[in-house]
Amino acid sequence: MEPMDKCKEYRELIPEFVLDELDAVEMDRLDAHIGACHRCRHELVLMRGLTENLAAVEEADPGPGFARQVMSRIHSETWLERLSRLISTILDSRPLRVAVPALALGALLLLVIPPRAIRAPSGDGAGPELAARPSMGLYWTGGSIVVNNRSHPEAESGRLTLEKGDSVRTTASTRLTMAYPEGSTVDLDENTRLLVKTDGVFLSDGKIAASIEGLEPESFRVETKNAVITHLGTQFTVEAGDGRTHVEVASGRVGVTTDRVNDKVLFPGQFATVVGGGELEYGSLQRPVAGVNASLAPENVDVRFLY
Amino acid sequence: MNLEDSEIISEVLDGRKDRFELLIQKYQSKVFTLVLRLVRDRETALDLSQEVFFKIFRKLSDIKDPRRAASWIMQVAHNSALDWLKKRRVDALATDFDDQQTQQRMFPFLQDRVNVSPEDIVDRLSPSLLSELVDRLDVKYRTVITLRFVDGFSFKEIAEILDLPLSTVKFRKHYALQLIRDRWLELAKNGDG
Repeated sequence: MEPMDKCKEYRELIPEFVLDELDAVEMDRLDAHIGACHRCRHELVLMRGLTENLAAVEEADPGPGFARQVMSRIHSETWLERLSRLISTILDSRPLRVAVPALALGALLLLVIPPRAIRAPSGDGAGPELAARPSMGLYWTGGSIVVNNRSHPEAESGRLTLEKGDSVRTTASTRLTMAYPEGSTVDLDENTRLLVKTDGVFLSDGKIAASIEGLEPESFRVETKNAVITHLGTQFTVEAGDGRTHVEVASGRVGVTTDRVNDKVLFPGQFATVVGGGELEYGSLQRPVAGVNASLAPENVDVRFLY
Repeated sequence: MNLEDSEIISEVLDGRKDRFELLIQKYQSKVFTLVLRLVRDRETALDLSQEVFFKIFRKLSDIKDPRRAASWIMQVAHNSALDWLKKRRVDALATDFDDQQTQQRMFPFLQDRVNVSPEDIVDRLSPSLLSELVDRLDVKYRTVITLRFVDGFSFKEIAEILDLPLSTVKFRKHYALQLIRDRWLELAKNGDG
């Protein structure tokens, strides 16, 4: 048997051995040693098991509708975004990356661009671009809500706003309305958890009722773990939890996309239930669509939003 | 239809924007897997992955060699995730494996066994356990292991993606495997005790 320090040397080669990365001479040397060394053989078993299991780790799945969302953003890039990108490129390419030219260009933009393009008016049906969507107001009753892991009492209702990337959770007996600037509302039932995204929300758990106004079709989405629900001009509810997503349509239409089904369109009075890996069942409701509560947001949308 | 990346890119640059969706579908899992492994938060990874493809679309005309689109796409994904970590000053270093609960959850079979052979340990090794072990590596080792074993890139491609010498990539792979192996056995040993 070869000495222990020789074993150490051989063991260093074992990861490459199992990955077939050694040259023929080293491979033969190690092979011969392993045949005679119990400890190194054990090491080989461990490393082979480790690399084989590593290779069996599956790629993560971004979920249904990912490619479509990116394409939707590409198709909807506005001239304002293109212009700001051009300005960024110009500034990046020169040693002028200082505040003065940026401010000068900003001032120029304000002069050139009509105010309507920056400040999205509400209720005119024009549909502001989602990328430019400002923060939305939060109105709730029944107790506290949790925004980004921080609890807020009912006394703060109407004084908080949400932006892309924020998470919100309602506690037991709390009802919450998220009021979007263009007039849309998303009502959250108690014990509901969601994340605000650029183009809608990701609903992890609980139930929401969405009433979408003033947005172009397909520009607002509710994502869950196994489905993407796309607004096509409508009012609808989505319930998610325990690997199941349930959608009901009160008015207009919605599209439902899963790993197995591409954009199943639902009409008023219809429902769809998505389970597990994306199997979808749909049909007609035998009752009216049950919302989560009447919207809590005040009617005058102009005072609700901070730009 | 299985178009080459260079053909898809050529079509997109010729004005057929919609063909870009083919490139997204081809690489979305690889990009998302790498970004998710680095930022360790699904929602952030989704947003960043969308940004990656949007950025790639905007910069498509800058690509020097469309035949190496895969490396370029993964390079953009890697840089985006690293930028996010830097901006957030997220501690991307490994966390220690001294959590008894983790040991018990990962190695419950060791609780009442005295002598466990390597075969026994390997038999109970699973991709999900390894996933957790990889997640606890330092970000530079995590990246190499993910690109090599999960996303299936060659070491040469990984060297291109990370802009590192091939020898450095191979060293990181070797060291990462040893780290995973050591922590795996450490867990098993402590659980045994």
